[in-house]
Amino acid sequence: MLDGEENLITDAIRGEASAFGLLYDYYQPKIYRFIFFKTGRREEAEDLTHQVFLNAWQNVKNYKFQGFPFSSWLYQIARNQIIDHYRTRKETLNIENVDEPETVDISIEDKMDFGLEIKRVKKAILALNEEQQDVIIMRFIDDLSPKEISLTLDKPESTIRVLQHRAIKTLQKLLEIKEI
Amino acid sequence: MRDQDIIKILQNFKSIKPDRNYSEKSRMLVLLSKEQIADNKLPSFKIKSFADVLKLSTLVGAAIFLLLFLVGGVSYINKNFSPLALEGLNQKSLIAEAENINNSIQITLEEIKYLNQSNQNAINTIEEVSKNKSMYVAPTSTPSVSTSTIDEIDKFLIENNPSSTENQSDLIDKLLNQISQ
Repeated sequence: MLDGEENLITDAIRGEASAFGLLYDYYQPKIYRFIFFKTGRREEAEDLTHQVFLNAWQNVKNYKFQGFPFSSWLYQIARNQIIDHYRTRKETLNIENVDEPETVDISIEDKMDFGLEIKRVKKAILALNEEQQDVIIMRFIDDLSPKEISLTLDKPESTIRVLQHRAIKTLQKLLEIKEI
Repeated sequence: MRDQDIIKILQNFKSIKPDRNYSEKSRMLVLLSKEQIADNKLPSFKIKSFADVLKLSTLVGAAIFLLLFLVGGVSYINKNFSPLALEGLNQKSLIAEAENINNSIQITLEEIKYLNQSNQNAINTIEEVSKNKSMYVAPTSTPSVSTSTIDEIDKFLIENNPSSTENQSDLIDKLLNQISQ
């Protein structure tokens, strides 16, 4: 959670663009990664991330704390955006059409096998069911707490832990297969 | 591959970031979008605090009071001081006045009718008189009789002393008998 997030949200609700700009800077990479691993395509991830923040900024006055962190609200918008995107396109993602690795830190990109590893894991993640995908991406790639994930997915924390455990086991099996 | 190895691989993906140019452009477009929408909307009050609500309600209250005061004042002036506020404009007096005029018109009409009728009667009478002229003319020969009778009466009175009241009644009786003959 961002320092002074509540104040920033209050200011953003009042219409202060600079406050929402800071929220954007903090949450945009997380939402982008979430969408990227869910869609597997860079262009789609960029378009959908833009739409998520556009919707969030347009409707930020409707956001109320009520125990839900701002990140949960953003992830909910992102999930709905992805669902709407595939509903309108009426196509399912073929894991064979997954894009190459994204822009990464130069130090990491220098590692020769990193790009290949990303592609392999991304395919494995896309082979999981929707809930397992969400939990794995939020928990380990976007670094959300189990509580935040439970609030975002509207499921008990215990269910989130079970989903996380099953997802790890499934990924383990998938990554052990050389073809992926 | 152990669970920890998979988690470690997944955590390495935290370094994945969107393209910087895309991020800057998207950020700018997102933040500008609301201003564009606000520009397209009608101007509205921005209520930020209770003080603003209080100010706004005070203004609205004052405006309503002023409006009522103006309407009331105009109505009062119009009723009491306006040059248009004549007695004739009072509805009751107007009706009474109209009734009076109506009654006088009725009386005048009746008079005209009466005069017209009496005129007609007069014309009828004249016509009737003119038709029966001969009937009314005939009696004109009688005055000779009557004048002779009067002369006789005068003679009789001169011959007989009218001062004597004793035979006065007898004289009148004789005279009347002569007239009747």
